Amino acid sequence: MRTLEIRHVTKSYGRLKAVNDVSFTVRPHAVCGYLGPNGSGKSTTIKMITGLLPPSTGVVLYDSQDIREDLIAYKSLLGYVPEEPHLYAYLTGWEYLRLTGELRCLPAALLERKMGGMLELFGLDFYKHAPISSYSKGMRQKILIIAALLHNPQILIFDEPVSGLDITAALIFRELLADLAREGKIVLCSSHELALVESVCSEVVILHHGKVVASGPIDEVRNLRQQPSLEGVFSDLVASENVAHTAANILELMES
Amino acid sequence: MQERHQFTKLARNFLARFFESDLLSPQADFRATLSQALGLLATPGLLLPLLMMPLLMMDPNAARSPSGKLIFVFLSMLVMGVLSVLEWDALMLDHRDQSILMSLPLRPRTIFAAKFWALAQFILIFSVDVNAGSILMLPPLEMVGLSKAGFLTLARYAIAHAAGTIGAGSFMFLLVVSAQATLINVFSPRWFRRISTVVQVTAILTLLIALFFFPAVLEQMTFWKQHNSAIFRWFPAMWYVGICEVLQGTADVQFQSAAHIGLYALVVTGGCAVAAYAVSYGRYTRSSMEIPAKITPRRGEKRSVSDILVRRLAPNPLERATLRFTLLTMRQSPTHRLILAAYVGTGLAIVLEEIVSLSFRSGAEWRQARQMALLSLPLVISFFLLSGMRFVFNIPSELAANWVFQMAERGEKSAYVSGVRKVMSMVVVAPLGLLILPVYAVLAGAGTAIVHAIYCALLSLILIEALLWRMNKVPFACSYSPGRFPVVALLCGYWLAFMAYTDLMVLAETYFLHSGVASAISLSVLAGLLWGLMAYRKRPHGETTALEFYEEPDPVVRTLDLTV
Repeated sequence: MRTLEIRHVTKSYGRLKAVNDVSFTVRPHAVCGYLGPNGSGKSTTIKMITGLLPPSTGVVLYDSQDIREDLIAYKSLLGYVPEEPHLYAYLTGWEYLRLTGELRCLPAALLERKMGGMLELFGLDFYKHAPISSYSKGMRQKILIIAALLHNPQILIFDEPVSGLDITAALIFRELLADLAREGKIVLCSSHELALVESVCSEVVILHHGKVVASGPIDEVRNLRQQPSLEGVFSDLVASENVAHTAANILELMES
Repeated sequence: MQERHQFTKLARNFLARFFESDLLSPQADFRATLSQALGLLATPGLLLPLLMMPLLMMDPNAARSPSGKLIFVFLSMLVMGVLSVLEWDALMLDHRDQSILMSLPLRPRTIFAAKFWALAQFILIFSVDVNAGSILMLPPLEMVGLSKAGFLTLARYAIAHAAGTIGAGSFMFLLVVSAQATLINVFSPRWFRRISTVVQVTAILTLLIALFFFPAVLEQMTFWKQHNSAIFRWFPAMWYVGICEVLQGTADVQFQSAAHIGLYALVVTGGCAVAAYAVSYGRYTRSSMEIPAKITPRRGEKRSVSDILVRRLAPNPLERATLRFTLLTMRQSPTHRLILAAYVGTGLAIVLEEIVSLSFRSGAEWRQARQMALLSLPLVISFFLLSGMRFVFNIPSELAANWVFQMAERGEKSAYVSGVRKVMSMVVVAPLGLLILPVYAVLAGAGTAIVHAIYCALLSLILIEALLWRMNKVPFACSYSPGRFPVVALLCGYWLAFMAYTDLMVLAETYFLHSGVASAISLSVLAGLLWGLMAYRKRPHGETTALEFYEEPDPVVRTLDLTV
């Protein structure tokens, strides 16, 4: 079984360790949720997993092989939705997807069929020839998701995938994640949406200050921390302050 | 008090926005780049008086002549003209500014006043920077040989020179601002954006052509003045020379009249700029906020002729992706279009200047020169278009979006470069060849036209090979660190390459054009050279170097690498 294994990965910027000795494994037929507060090192880890950043120490293994040994072959198996929707805004949705598909070397006829179908299913058919600069955040996110799926990748890495999506699109995406796992894909999903992670992911990795503070099947993590929900686990592990107290303090400061 | 504080903060922010550019690498230090830009712009004003010094010391009257002043006035107008066209998009609030500012409790008048104040500061900083050298160095030279040469006279000369040069630069800037504000009032926002590009490109072309014709203007100035020519009265640079002359105490009626026109022009453009800007301001802020919400799809291009052509031309998907991306970026990005227009403008200006100067000369001795000039025209255009394209490929467009190229990178680096090569051939070589055939068939006969078209096409293809030699980046998708090569060395390299590509090659062509055999041999040699370059490029040497996405800036401290 081909797995994606993150083994003792560290990323340092001078003295600062953005990611510190992180290890976990993502298996096929399972969606792995990747959680952590802002600045915990989630996106940095994801950039190392996608090959965009080299780790300072440690390795990312796919099928027991270091991904950096043949990065190009590894990237051809990868579909990635980044946290920030950086797109060529002057291109139309159609032009951008065609660019991505052609860079992935998809045959022209197949690419057009897939693009047409996906745009229709994501409700972007009418806007496909409008420049991306005129798209809303959700529409841009849909373009990124389509671009990540076009070449039927074996590994899917989603960084905040539902950010900006409308409710229907978010529900479709939730179903899609489950279907992708059923198809045997390796799926890693980083999100702040605990409900999404709890409903779709079978495993979870929680990161705090660049270190893994909990990992494993969601039920196990919940039982271990003796919490009824993932939200409880997350608050227990990560929230360093009393949430209600902090909110009250903010209000007090606001009104002062 | 609060409004004043808001005004100060806003004005500072707007001023900083003038210096944001795609040309700056994210790794580049903003202050260092700004200092380099200011230094570069100040250099001509400092160098010209130094270069002119020996001449001016020998002939003090030359220093006081209007021609000397015309050079600096024209320089000021040219630089400010180019700068204001480049800053076109920053002259008004853009969508990003509005989306931030409109949600804040700011009065429209505060925003308007801050933006206008930032514009005024921009004029002041760059006018002073461009003209400081000449304002400080020219007046002392003008005073050589004067009987009454005291400090007051020196101050008066410096003030006169500052008024002339800064006035000329301000006139150009206000002209562009009022033109933009007027266009906003006349056209809808969508049409305004389309027309803006045309106006910017035309303005850059006009300024460059004016630069190349300036020596002729300088030569003819005395003649026009003596004959009270309309050109003298209506050439804007002359108005500000007039202001300079009047402030220095001339009694010349023509200069007094020119100075009056210059002053009126400044007041009128200033007034127009303020009025049109104020009227357009509300309209623009209201309408441009609405644009992004209104999505109007472009015409689909699924089965267009260009799509079929691209598929035939580039069967490899990677090649096709690069080709399409390069074409679309050149078409859509205003910055890249402007830079390319500057290159084309330089080429056109050289061509026009040559045509005009040769058309005034007659006699057998000029026949060969005319023939050479005629033959060199397509090569001049091809040289500037191709080298301009190669330069704009270095300038990133939406750099943060280049992750898509990084994620989808394949091992076939040659396929990406091949796409770029095909773009250059499609945009330059093919149209030029199609243009040469009918034009030269009429001018010099069908035989010459065919030989010349093949000759130019082969030379252009060789130039493309040279320009893309060792290129290992996708156009517009790699960061750019300006100043990696010394400007003087780069300009010398350009000049030598230009001379070799145009003059030397045309000289060779004029010799072999007379004989069919010589033509065939020469074309075969060029074809062989091209084939050799292509074969060398395609030889199996392994694609060891990966595509480059981030150009490293020069290190702040250079080491000698002496450690073992």
